[in-house]
Amino acid sequence: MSLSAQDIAFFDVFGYLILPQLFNQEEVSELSNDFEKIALADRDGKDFEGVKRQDIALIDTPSWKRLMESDRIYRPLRELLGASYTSTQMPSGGLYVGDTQWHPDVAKVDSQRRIKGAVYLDPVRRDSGCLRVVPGSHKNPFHNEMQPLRMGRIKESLDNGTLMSNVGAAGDSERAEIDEWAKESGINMDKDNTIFGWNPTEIPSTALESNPGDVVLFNQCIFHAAFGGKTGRRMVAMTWASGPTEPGHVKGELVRER
Amino acid sequence: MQLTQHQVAFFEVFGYLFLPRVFSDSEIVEMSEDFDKTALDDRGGADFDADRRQNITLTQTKGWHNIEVRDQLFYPLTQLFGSSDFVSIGKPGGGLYVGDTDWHPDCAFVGNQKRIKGAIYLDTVTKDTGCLRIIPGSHKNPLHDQLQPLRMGRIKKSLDDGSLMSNIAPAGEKGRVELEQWQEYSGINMEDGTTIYGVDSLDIPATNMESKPGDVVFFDQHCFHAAFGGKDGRRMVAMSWASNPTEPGHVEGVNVLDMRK
Repeated sequence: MSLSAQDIAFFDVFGYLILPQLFNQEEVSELSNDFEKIALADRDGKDFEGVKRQDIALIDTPSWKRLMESDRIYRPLRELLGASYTSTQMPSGGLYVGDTQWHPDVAKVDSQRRIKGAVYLDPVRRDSGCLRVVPGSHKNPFHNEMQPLRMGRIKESLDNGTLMSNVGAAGDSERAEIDEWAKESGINMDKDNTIFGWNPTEIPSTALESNPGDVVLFNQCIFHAAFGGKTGRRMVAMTWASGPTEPGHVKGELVRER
Repeated sequence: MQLTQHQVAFFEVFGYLFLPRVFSDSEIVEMSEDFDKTALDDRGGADFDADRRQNITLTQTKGWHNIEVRDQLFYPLTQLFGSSDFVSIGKPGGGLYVGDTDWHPDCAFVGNQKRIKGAIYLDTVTKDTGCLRIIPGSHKNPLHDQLQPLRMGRIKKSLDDGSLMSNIAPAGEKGRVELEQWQEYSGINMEDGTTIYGVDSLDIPATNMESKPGDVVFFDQHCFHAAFGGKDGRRMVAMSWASNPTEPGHVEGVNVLDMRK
């Protein structure tokens, strides 16, 4: 599959793109079976408790390995990232729990383009845990203006121990991050007026509803969230980056055409 | 009416704010009747033929007199502008709208003068029946500039095939000059198909400002906006304001405090 010039422009402007039905139902079934098998083995055969997210490494399974090596993934990414792009995270699955509040994966916008691909193994809709993105928030100043949503969440977690993305509470690294950000931005989350506090489900965004077989690509600087998903919904994520050209750029494994 | 701090911050970040039930039912009835009467008079008593938008000036009517500085609008605006030092631009303009209005900003280029429009719909409008759609955050660069192909493509199409811009009139010489200047400035050639122009207008990610009579939608006039699927003759009244002009090129207007005296 090749992207159209409009697809490429759309991704550049808005920071996301849905590739519908990139994988057929037979392939999805195999991906799903491998996911379940690993998840169950990781839990030693026990039921999923649904207390917090279960992370699952999938790279050693044949179906997910094939997906990563597929031309259907390679070609669009080469068009979005350039020929020397790298893989920065192998497929990592999750059984998700609860809402995921607004955050970017990459906290600061810089000159390296980073993309995440999300494959949902269950149909997800606006109010049942699909990915929501704030189009255009992968670039500044919009990205920086959204930061209070993330910093407010960190602050809340530091204050009362709530889990961040239902994984763990904020700790020393987040404390340092919020301190550094406050210094850099001049914003005091205790005193200043920000959008933090606005109902998260009413932050203007686009709901990327998807079905198994779709691949959702998004710039990792974009602010995203998910609300209303059922406990144990299954998503697999993988990431890539344009070839590193500057100190501080992430390095990964060069992806070559198969 | 007092905006919350969150609402002020929201407008700053996303470029719009929806205020429900700003005007009461009785106020809306009067405004609606004055609108219809003026529109009918302007048409010399004839039916609205829906060929194109009918523009209506409303300032002489009781329901709309000095609407742009009425308390319900003035106080929120003082918060959005940061002070009462702002001006009203032109007069409240009503319209009987026809068809779709494709993506465009009211102010083509982002500058340092804040410009706000207020829209009051006299009919209920939803996502697919002509409500205002706004691209959040598009009042600032770089997003604003990156959306220009939506506007320039529309101008180009109108120049090529004579289609009406916003159902009013085709682009003319002014549009041709604007398109040429923009292509030179941006380095983008609208012929080569490498922009977002051409993506189905309905698929451009946006927020739908569904509203009922009595609601007010404020938006930064640099925001890209559009409306799709509205019935012919849907009624909307718009008014606009700007921060006090301080530089050559800033738009002039009437000081709102003078209007309120």
